Amino acid sequence: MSGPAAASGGEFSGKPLSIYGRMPLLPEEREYRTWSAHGTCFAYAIATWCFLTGGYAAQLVGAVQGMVCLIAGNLIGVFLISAPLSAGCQRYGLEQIDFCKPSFGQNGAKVILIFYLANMIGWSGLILVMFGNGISNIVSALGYQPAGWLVGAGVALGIWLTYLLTTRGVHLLSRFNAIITPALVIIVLFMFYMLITSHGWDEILSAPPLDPLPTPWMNYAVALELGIASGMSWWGGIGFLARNTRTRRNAIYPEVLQLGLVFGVVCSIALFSGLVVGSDDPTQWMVPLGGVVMGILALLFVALANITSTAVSLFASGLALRHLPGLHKRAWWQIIVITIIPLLFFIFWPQELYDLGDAFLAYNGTMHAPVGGILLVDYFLLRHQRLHLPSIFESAPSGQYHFTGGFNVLALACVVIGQLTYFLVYNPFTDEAHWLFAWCPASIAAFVLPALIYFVGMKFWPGKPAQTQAAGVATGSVKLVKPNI
Amino acid sequence: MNSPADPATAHPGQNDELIRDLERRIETLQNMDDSELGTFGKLDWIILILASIVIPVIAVVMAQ
Repeated sequence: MSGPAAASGGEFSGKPLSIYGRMPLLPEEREYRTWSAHGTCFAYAIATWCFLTGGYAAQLVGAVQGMVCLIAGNLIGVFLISAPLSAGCQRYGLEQIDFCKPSFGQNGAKVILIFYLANMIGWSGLILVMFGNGISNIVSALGYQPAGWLVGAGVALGIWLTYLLTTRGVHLLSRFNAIITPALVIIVLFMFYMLITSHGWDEILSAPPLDPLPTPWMNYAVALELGIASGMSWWGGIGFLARNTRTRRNAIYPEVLQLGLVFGVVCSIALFSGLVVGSDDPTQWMVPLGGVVMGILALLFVALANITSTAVSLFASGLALRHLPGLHKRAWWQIIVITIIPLLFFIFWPQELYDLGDAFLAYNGTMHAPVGGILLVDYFLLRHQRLHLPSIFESAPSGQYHFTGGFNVLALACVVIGQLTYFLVYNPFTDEAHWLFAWCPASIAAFVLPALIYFVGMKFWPGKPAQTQAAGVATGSVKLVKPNI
Repeated sequence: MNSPADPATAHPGQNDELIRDLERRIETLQNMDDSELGTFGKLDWIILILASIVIPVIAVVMAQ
């Protein structure tokens, strides 16, 4: 390897800079073939967030309704959110915040970055509390009385381990995942085996939800919302996966199959465990299901898996932070410290924040649904899958995606409209809902309405931005005035 | 330390080289034919919409 691809010398151990940075990836640089694309998506899908989502669903609905909400909801959410991202990021080798620039503008895309970071950091915090709960439950399974502060101390330990893992690079992370992912598969299969042999289908199917809402129809509607919103939560990882694939089919089929279907199935097994054991805390399922020895072993692996899941989230967050001007030149460890700061709240209020997890999952819908709707309309209907790549990396006002001061005000206004629509249909913090929520999930309303307004606005608004010129470019003609790489 | 470096941390010469590399990549990807990235036709869309929207919606309505 030579030239700019090796810009950081030994730091990359022979890996091209473009794989880690924002450089558009050429087809020959992309790592994922069919099986590796499926394998990577599978490893993403089989992570501890399945346990969390299944546990939250167990509060509201029984086994059959919960399984439908989690599998169907995930499939719908993943497909809607990944269709434009996987097609566009794969075609142009783009990282997803860059893919947002044709819709939101050079600076508007940075606003979307904030949503992205909130999602990543929120997930990380919840998983770290699960790590702390795991430690507390191991102490309890060994016959000791866990102290009240132990969960918070566990979160602090988890943050420190995550920092070590994240700052020592993606290779170490990959090695950890190579051990943790198969272990998690074994744990999930073991949980399922124990559920069937020790409890049986009849007990699973007849187990009541743990803490249902007083209005019966609301439970099903909220569980479906949870499924769709958790499917849409994959927004953060889809661009990275798609840009690393060589063929268009490999960019979308693994995402729908693994992140949609497999994730939904594993969430369902978690849901069954929660219903049978009678707790929404995944770390309380292992000992009752597997006995003390197997339970503690499973808890240890789940605890380790929590650390790698958090490290993946923080790694992605760190890369995303590189978009912000003041953070271009920061050392990597400083970037990771910045991503860790919001997690400190989870040390002091672990249970309070963990209990807000289901509302956070639903709130993801308010963040991702309007953005997904706008990207879908923009890429497929307005730009007909043709982008002007030089303008994505051009910060000068001459770039086609500069809009007004770097912001596409219409797109950003549509995001706000989408968020208001979501809260009008369903408020995840108060559980108040409009009658429409019985027929239309809030995420879908927040996806469709902004997309329609954006389409009409971009098509017919007199002050609309210049039409994209996205034809091929002459050889040697690409000269960036103010490159934003 | 093995970490994702940034072009801004490279020395100035490397930055120029990096921008030239970016321009070269842009040119290649912008001019590339879609068929170089494999086929993706109407049948793919039909399969995906059936599997990800139609069947899940039917299941959701039936389980309500």
